[in-house]
Amino acid sequence: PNVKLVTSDNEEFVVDFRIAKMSVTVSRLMEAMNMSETDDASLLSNSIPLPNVTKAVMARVIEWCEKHKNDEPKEEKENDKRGRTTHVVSDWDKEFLKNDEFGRLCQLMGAANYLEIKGLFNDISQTIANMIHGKKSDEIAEMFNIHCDLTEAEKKEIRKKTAWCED
Amino acid sequence: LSSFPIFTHQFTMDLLALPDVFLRKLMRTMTMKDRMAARLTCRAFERLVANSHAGCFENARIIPDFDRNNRKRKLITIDDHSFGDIDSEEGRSEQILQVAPLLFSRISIQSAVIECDGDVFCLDFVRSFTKKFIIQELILVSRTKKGFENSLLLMNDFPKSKCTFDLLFLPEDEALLALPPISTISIWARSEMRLDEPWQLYTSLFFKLIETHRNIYVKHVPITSDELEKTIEIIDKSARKRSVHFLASSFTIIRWLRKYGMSEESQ
Repeated sequence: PNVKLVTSDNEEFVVDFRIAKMSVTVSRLMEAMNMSETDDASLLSNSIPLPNVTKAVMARVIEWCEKHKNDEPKEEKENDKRGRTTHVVSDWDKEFLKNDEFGRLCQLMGAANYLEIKGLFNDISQTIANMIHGKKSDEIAEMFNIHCDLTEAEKKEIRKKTAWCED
Repeated sequence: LSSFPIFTHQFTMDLLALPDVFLRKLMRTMTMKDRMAARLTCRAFERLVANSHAGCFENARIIPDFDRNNRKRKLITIDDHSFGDIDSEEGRSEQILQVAPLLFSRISIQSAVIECDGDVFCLDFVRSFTKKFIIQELILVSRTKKGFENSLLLMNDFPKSKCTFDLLFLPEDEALLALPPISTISIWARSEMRLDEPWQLYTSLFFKLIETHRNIYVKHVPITSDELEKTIEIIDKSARKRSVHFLASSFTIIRWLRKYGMSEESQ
């Protein structure tokens, strides 16, 4: 069975039920609209509006979901290292995200957050953390378009305070 | 639904305008060094670093160490990040206590080794430094009576942690027997003591320890073959998985094996 998803720019995407269910947000909306896998009529007569996702971003999200639709669900524990250094971004995901500039990554991450697709959200978080890794503060600010409101004197003072522990 | 950030340009965007859930996730994925660099980018990032959970790190060490001149010094590390040469200047310890709260609001540590003997590290310092720590496995090393007392106090600060006592000296019997049940107790097991050295853990104390604590690592116990049998009975009473490591003389083991008809000739 297929589910119709409608983006903010009125583009309709018809996706497999399994792919639609990968989004917690879409799942909840389907439930609220009494759409079920076994009821074709309910699926044909309804479409899910997604006002926070554009056509371009939705296409990327669906591409990611297509690749991961058969993945085993992962359990996350508070005390494991996943999410900091051992969240492994697979080769396919690295390739999928590598040409996205930061702005595009943010749009995709915003969609993953809104649609509640945890795997995609984690992949993007780790990709951005990897972009920061080993960079100096000026490089981080430039990369992420951050306007530095610290004065040189303040920066010097902060550096001075922590220089001894920045090995 | 989460608020969605407003894009001012197709490819540029302020990282800090992103949803809070993402920023919190991001902060848990950064290394300590990256957090330090991020603090210098702007005031908002400085606040974000100070007010966010640092995520889970594999290990932390707060232990005495020796410098090139074989002088005792303080060593503090979180994973591969060392908090510098703490003893090189007066007031460094105070600086550490001031800087730590600027780097995270909470931090999870899988395994932390702490030796607080009151000489190199004082109890107040260790308590202040670890105030925001959530420790999964707490390994408390002590080599003096004072260190042992401090370890007990620190254990109470982390009631949810799995606790290991690594004793590099033998406390008085009363002190050892007053220990509440703990996950692992190791007495001089790490030292390179030879069997012919005089120190032994006498058998009655050994029995009490294995009755109380889950995992025991000790060196030589002057045990007879009957007492070896009793040791196995005590261990066997417990349904849970546990480890008891000790050294018994080969004579004891041979006598015990012979009791069951096993000898050099046995197949």
